Amino acid sequence: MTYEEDDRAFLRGFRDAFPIFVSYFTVSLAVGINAKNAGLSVLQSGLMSFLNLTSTGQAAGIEIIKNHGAFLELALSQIAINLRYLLMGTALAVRLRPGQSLGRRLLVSIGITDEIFALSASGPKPLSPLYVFGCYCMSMPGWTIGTMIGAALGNILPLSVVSALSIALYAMFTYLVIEPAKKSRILVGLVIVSMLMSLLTDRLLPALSFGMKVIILTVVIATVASILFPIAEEEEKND
Amino acid sequence: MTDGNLYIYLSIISMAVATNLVRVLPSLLLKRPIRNTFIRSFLYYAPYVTLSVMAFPSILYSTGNFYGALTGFICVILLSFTKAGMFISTFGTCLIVYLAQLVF
Repeated sequence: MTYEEDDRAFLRGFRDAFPIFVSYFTVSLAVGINAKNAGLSVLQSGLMSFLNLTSTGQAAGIEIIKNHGAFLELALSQIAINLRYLLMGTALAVRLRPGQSLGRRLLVSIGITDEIFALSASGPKPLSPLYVFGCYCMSMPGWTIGTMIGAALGNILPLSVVSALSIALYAMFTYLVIEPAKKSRILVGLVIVSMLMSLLTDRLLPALSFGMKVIILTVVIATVASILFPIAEEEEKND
Repeated sequence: MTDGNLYIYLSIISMAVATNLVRVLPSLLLKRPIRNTFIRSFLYYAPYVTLSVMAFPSILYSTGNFYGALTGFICVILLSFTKAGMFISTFGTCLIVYLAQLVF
């Protein structure tokens, strides 16, 4: 691939990702507010967003930090929560023109998020690593700056507004799980079982930390689902 | 640096190493697609379980107003069944919760 093609792919990704910039900016305001409430400074909140770029992972991480959880618990929770990135990375890797250098493949890796994956996986084939990097360069600042502004302004906004914004992340998780799941009875059942097990675990084992709960329930329920309802490759493509 | 700050910085680094490890592993290791049905199924189902467990019942305690949050939870489920999209569903829910809190 020539440099000119690279430039064009980068600019296309940068431009296509503008809606992601807007939604990241607004959602990350809530992340910043949560981070601030957990005791992180504005700089620390921004650093976390810059280095992690994961709404679900950071929500769990912030919860664990608030409870002074162990570093291993933090790391394991990130792996469990972001396991899907393995699948996304795998899916994007096979869309690249064969024979890309390691450096170019890593450009794809660092940009993997739900939204950038959705853009990159629905674009033209073969995928250019610079397209994904362009998406990343547009999206990441929205996420990081939004987090810092949320952490800084959390104290200025009226309590009722902060309280209403605090539900944004959880509303997004609910949306992200229901919207694709509604197409499949198995997925709807999986979501309901997961939520009920989560509630039950809170009641029966209140001492279990949030991060450990997420890890254990994910491994147990996803394993049972995989044994009971193994999926063929075609079904996955409809995702 | 205070102990509290050191803890937070090390926490952020632990998270970043783990998250980005998951991101780069396919590029480092993968030479061909995963064929094993169990692994594929597990990777497919895991995010649904994770997000569900993270969302519920935490969402009910996220705002400090149980009934307001419950209204929001019902609202975002209903919006998920429309074509509203993530952005409108999420912030529409915030708006509804804001209004609900004026009532409850």
